[in-house]
Amino acid sequence: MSGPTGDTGHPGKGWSRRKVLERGALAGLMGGMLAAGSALAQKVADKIGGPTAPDPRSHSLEGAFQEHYQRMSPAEVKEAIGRIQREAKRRYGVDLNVETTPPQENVVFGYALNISKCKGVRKCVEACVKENNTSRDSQIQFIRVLEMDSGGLNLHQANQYYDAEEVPRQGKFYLPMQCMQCDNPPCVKACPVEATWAEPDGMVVVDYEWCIGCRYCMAACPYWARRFNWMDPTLPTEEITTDTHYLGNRPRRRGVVEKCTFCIQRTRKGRLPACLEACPTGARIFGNLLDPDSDIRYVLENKTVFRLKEDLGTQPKFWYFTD
Amino acid sequence: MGGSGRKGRFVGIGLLVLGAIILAAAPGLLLSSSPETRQEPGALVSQAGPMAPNLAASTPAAPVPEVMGKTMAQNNHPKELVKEGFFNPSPSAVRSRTARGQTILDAPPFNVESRKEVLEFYPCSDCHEDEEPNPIMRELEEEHSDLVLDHGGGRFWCLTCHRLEDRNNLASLMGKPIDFDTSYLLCGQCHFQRQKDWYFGGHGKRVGTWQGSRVIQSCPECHDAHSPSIKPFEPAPPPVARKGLIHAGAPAERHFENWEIRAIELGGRK
Repeated sequence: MSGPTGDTGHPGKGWSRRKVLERGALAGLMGGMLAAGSALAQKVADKIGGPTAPDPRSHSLEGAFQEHYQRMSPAEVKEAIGRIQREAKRRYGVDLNVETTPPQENVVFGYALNISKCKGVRKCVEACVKENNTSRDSQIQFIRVLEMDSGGLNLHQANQYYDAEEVPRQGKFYLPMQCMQCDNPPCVKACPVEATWAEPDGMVVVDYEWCIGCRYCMAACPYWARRFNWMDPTLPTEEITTDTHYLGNRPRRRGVVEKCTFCIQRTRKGRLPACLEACPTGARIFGNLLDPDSDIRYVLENKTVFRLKEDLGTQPKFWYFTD
Repeated sequence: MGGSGRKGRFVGIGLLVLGAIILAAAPGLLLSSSPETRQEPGALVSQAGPMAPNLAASTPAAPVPEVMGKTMAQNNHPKELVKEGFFNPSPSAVRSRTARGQTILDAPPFNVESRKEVLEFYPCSDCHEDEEPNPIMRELEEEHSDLVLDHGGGRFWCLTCHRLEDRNNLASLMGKPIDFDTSYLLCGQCHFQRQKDWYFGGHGKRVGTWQGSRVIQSCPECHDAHSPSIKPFEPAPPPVARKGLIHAGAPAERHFENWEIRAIELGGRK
């Protein structure tokens, strides 16, 4: 849970991260003023268009002073959402709707995928990129569609870069892989700052403002499900999904880790994930694991299902099955 | 269908099925006055309300429920259809049980989109009324010549599934009418295992919501009834590999569309 010294900078243990950052910034500001007079420096910079002129595409530092999402008061959440909305307006020119829909009671999400129906069309990938506002330039994709030789399941020899005229190809089968929302998630255990955690409905989420970008979670994930934002995200304004969730598809910063959340912005309101909606073959099945009449429960009870790397004890909530 | 000896067997099976149906339908009949209670709270719409009699042609238009702006078919659930008495699930369909011992009659309630709204030529009687029905098996030359019948391995032709006299309905193998909106009943005569999966959500595609009213796509939404196998697709482009990574899977130039291509010597590792 906490670091080796037991001091992770949490409240009650001396200085909080927020305090440190705020005081540090204050000290820096005072130093700057003493040195040159920052107002004058800004004026000069504006005139000559130097490096201090704000780039409309870059993120402000404001988010860095924010409390951890789970410890924020409602007022602080509101403030944070206001900042995200302002930033989205400035950077992309869109009016964002940022929600914080809480998990529903008696709901734990599960996913099942029929690999005999998946033809490797990658429609899920396309829909996911669009729905989750992932950066187009760096081509972050939460779903990997793996092409493998029939008769084996060797993930490490699989090809996600297949480029065919037509799918399915002879002698191949396809297995899409995304975050499995493990019940025992190794990524959560690896995070040194507790920026990622499992929600009561099973979704493993990230507080993008709290993430320090160390990428330990990426190394810990046995399913290669997490992605790192190497550059300022580029999003075409007309393609931005404006219905967002704070822990889901709102535009993220550069230098943080992001991942699939089973479309938390949709599924917490009863809708289906975007990848399922896009699938042209109906290979994907989603539902509430606690509801005995749900589609997913039927599949788990009546089909031969398996999970990837089950021996690691990660307890993924993503099953594969064949007909 | 079949010789006279097989007919006798059919009658025997038919009687058994009838018994099964009566047993299965009895609780439904007892409960018929109370609304469907299995639905979760927060549903978008109620299930197809009071049952309209079986054949749409013979009844005044009943209100058709709408879900997510789409017209829903009536007569959805096999239970309701049994009550109305015009659909007899095939013996195999009723015998096939889930791990929890349920038959298709116990499937959770659902809605399917109305097919009649989508079909190009429906109602078929518009043209076929004036035509003299011709029961002789033949190649169609004037109309419907674009249809490719790749289903049933050469054993099928139009009248296997369409009624000769009553064109606005489909025909079961026993010659009973099946509404175009419930065409999945027709498919289930042979593909009853798939149909069972479909009723319970293990096959087919759900639309809109995982919670509340269950809207599923009917068979012909994905499968062309005349040529039902799923055809190959053209896939979306592959992901780009990160700068400096050349992956064995695809032509290298494809990877670097959005990245600085010139900085990298291609042709090293392939």
